[in-house]
Amino acid sequence: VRDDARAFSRSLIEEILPASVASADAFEDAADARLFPEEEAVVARAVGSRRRQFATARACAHRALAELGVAAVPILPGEGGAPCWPPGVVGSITHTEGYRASAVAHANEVITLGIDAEPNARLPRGILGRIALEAERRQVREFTATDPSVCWDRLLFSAKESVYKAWFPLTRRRLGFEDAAVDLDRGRGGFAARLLVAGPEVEAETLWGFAGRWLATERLVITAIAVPSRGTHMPSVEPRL
Amino acid sequence: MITVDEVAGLIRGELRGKLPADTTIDESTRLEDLGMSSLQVSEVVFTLEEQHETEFDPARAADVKTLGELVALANDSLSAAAQ
Repeated sequence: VRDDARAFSRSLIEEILPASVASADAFEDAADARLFPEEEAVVARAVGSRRRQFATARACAHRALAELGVAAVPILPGEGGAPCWPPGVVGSITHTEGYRASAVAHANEVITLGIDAEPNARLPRGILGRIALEAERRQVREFTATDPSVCWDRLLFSAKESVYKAWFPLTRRRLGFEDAAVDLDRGRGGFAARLLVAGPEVEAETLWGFAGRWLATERLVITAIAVPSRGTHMPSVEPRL
Repeated sequence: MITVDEVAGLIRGELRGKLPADTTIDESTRLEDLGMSSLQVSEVVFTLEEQHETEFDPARAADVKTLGELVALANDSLSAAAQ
C-alpha cells in the first residue's frame, strides 16, 4: 500500500497501464473544469456533486486525449452508459470519492481498456456474497488474513468492474459478476479474469479472459486492463480458479 | 407493491445524507444524476430483493436508468413471483 497517492508527478493510474496508454487523473474536483455543451446537457438535471464529478472526469478524458495527440471532443455516454470515444480511440473513465481518472489509447495499439477506482474500504455487508464466486471469496479471506492493509473484497469488486468495462465495447453484451472468475495476484499487483461465458472473437482469436494490474494506496484501490492489439491475449498469470 | 417513496427512501439512505435536502426524487429521476455509483445502485437492488424476497431480472436490473424503471422492475418481479 502506497503512503501518499499525490506523490506521483503524472497520473497515479499510469503506474498500472502500458506505455501505449495515455492517462490523466484528479484527486479533487476542479472549479474550472469546462464541459462541451453536449456534455453539459448530460448532467443538466444532476445534483451539484454529480455535475462536478462528471466535469472533472471528462476533463481527465480531454487531457488524456491531448496526451495521445487527439483533439478533445465531447465524450458522451452511449449504449450501456459506456463513454463514446472518437474514431480510432479506445478508452475508459472511472470516478470514486476523491479520485477521477481516464485512460485512452489508439485502437490500432490497444483493443480495449477498462479502468476502475474504488475506496480502499471494505464492501458493504452482504455485497461480497452477491458479487463473488466461492473461490474468489476464499481468496479474499486468505489475503485479508495475510495483509489487511488492502481491502481485498473491494479490490475484487474493482477488478470485476474493469473486466466489464473492457468487455462491453467488444461485445455490447451484459456480463454478470458471476460470469468472470478473477484470480488476484497478491505479490505482483496483477490479476487474471477467466471468462465463464463465450468470449468475443478478437483478431481471429477467441478472447477467453483478461489480464489486469492493480495498485492500492491508503485511500484507494485501482485496477486496469489494457488488451494489446498484437501478441497473446492470454493472461500472464494462469487463473487457479 | 413497491412504491416510488419506498425506493426513494432507500436511495436517500444509500447516499447517507450526501444528497441536498431539497433534491426532488421522483419516477423520472435518473439514478446517475443523483451521483449514485454502480455499487450503490446494486445495494438498493439487493436490499429490495431481500426485503421483498424476490429476485430481479439481472439483465433488466443492469439497464435501469431511472427510479421509475427500478420500481417497475421490482413490481414486475413481485407479480411474476405471485403467479
